[in-house]
Amino acid sequence: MSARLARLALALYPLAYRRRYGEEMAALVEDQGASPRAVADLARGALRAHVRPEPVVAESLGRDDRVRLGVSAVLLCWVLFTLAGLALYKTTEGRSFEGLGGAPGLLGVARLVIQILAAVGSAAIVVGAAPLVPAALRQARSRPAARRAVLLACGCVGTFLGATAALVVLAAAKPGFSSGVEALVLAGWAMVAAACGIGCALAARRGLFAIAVPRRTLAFAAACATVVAAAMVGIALLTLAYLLDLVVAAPGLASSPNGPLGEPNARHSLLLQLAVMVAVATPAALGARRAWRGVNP
Amino acid sequence: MRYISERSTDPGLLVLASLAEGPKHGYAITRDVEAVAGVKLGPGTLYGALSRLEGRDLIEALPSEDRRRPYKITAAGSAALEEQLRMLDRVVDTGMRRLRAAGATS
Repeated sequence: MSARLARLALALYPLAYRRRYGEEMAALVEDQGASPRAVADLARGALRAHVRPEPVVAESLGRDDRVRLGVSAVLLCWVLFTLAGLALYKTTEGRSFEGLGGAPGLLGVARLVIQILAAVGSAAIVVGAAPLVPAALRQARSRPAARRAVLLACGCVGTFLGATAALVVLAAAKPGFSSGVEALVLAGWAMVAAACGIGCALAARRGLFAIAVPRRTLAFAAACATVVAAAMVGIALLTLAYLLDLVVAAPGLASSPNGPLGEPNARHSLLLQLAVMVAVATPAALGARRAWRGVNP
Repeated sequence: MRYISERSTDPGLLVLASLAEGPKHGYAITRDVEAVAGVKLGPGTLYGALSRLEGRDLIEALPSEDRRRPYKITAAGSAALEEQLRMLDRVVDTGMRRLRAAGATS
């Protein structure tokens, strides 16, 4: 058990560290024994390596790998950001919020621009992935790592489609569930969708490192990742503006019960979503910066 | 045997002192430090120290032997170790003298 945990803790180190010291560290763990203290020491070391990386080690990564790391980080952040975005959409749906959406001023504009930015970010993901997916499919025949990544992505997409089809069939059958059961079913679907999204992002990361990609294509992916990160930052700022204006313009609606069980209220829901957005948009922006540094050192 | 962390003793100093004897790989360093200082360097602490020392050109990696890569102290590392040990020596001297003086007056 401890040996498995030690391998997991080793996997937490940044890629540059794993490339430089991974084999040696694994050998040392074998020699010393994978005690719980050794695992805790590795986890602390991994955290430190992320927070305060040694420049010489961090810069030992090649330019292309920096782009790969940055792009895949942005993709994973987008998946997590989408969860907060969907929650925002659910929180602000309904007649009373739609009425506000049509209202003049910041409230209406913020909601509209959030939707536009969400569409721009999604489009940038599709456009950025467009040249990479065929390359991964082509190279999957000859590269086992690429094949595993493609299979993982296909499995995730298949699971998501299956769960969505089951949800649609259930909704069409109109079983007359109570609102609590409906919320549970929806939450279950959302969890499956989130797991599939994260799985797809991890598959994309593995695939990106497993295939040979021309630098021009990587630079294009970095540009798309920058658009995605900018969209995330924009949506987070507009959500803040929306929240502030909602509290000022419609305080009653802001404190009205929200969510499947009537808790928390709209203001608290939006605040939580904003916190998630900021927490995810920050590493996305850093990832985009890293990708650009790979393109233009 | 207790583990030491970044907060207690400087692992970099222990690693430099160990490598002053000659090139060693990770496990040999931990064994030596354990024998000399009575503390055990965990793998994360050891490689954190090795990466910092390597980044400052105080040690250098030698070609790998199997999966174990030996490290050797550089001239700059020897100088840094000597400077730190001299400083510690002064601290030890002063501390012991003060302790003795305090013991004599109490």
